[in-house]
Amino acid sequence: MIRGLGTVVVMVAFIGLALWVFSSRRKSEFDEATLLPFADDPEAIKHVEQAQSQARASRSNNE
Amino acid sequence: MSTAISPTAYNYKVVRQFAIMTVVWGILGMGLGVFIASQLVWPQLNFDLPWTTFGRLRPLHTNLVIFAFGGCALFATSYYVVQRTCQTRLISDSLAAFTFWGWQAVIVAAIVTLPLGYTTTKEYAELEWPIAILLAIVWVTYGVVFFGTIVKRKTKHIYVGNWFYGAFIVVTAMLHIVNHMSLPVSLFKSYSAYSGATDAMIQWWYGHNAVGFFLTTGFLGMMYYFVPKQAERPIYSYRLSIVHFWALITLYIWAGPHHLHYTALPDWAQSLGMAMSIILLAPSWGGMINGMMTLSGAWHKLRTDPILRFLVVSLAFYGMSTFEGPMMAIKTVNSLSHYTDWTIGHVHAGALGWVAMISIGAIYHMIPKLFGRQQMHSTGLINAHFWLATIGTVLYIASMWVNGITQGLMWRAINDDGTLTYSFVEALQASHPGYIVRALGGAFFATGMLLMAYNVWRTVRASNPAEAEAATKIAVVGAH
Repeated sequence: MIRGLGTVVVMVAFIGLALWVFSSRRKSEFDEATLLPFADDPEAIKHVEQAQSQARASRSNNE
Repeated sequence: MSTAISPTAYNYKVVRQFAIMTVVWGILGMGLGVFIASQLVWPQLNFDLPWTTFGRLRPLHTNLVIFAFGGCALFATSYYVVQRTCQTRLISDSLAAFTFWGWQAVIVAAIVTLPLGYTTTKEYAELEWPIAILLAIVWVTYGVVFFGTIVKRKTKHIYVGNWFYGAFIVVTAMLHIVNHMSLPVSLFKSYSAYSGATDAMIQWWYGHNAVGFFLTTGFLGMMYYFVPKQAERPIYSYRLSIVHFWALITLYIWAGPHHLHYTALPDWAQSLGMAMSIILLAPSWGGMINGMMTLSGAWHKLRTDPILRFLVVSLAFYGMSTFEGPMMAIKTVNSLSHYTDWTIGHVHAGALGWVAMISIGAIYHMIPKLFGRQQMHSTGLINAHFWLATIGTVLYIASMWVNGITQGLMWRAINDDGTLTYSFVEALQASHPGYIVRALGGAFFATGMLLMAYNVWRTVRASNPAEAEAATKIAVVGAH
């Protein structure tokens, strides 16, 4: 009984985590957080943002 | 940035100290590894002295490479990453300095006591109680500095790399303190607070999570910062990194019993450990794929950048050894592999291929930045180091696979009448060529570290104090 309960608790936690993580409401937060390694480096953040806008442009050209 | 009085420079002093000591301890620890590997080829190298026997030097080798080399790499990179991704200085320079000198003191104490034969006999936890207490104090201070810095961060988010470093710090403290519970009977002798199968279970709960949290989670923190930074591309999926984090730390802690298959440990605990070890493949590979895919669309960078190659190849070895591990945790496979050289090969696929290579890549990335230089003194030498490390690792693990499977098969072979086909010495003799290749592979790897030391020395020497000082300035751009 108690072992089965453990499995259920972990499963619910995992599904909850997945729903939380993949919710579209988090997108802007994650987009910001993912740039943190470059944020304090003026050169790097320039390169990364350039590459990102290029990727966006080529994606919209393809569509 | 806020207008409140805030320091305008990172504390790079402690990062530089730990980074340099990573190289120094790396050479010493790996050199000692080559020496004890040679002892297995030429037993005369034991010199018939108690202090230089394999049994006493082997724990010194593991302590030096794991805690001295790996530990210094983790301290250096975590202090660097937490400051830069939080855009703030460490909360306390004196506490940070204490962690540096305290950690070096622990290592020196290990170098003195282990050859003298002072040991708890617990693998990877050999250090006797006075040193273990010092280690615990240093570690708690480390936690205070790290989490204190996160608390006063200037950024909104805590970057995922810091989550991994944080989990590594917290869980390592827990493992170390629980496993070291003991009753001292003299200054250098103590007895474990646990006994029998419980003691074994606690020890391998500690032992496997020394791998899982010290040698994996901490280095994944490194991966999440240095792979994106060196490739100048954000991590493939930030979402995956969060799932990776929670899944990994939830599962790793249960895998320890696979070290105790077919022992006095209750059978259900062995099976549980096996099942958890197999499930662990999922988060391990999730993290590996996340790191690798960061390069997607930019693979060409590997051609010109040996630092990035170190980082990416380390992920390949990580993927390989985290596949091999769950497989070896299966009881039927383990009945062949356990107590053979296969285990040593598996450990070194992780230790050389993953831990050492990602640390080396991270140190090469950091050294120029810490000392205000554009790049390392010689990219050619980094490239040479990369190939020495890769070839050395492959020679090491391939020879141990051959040896391990040979030993496993010879030990279990029986004649029709039920007697053993081979004596132990016959299996040992069959292992001799493998031991030669292993020592050679280790020597390749250690030679690479010498190239690194020269390269680091030339880079540091070329830096002047003004450049180094300017490098510490916190330059914040944008609205983060």
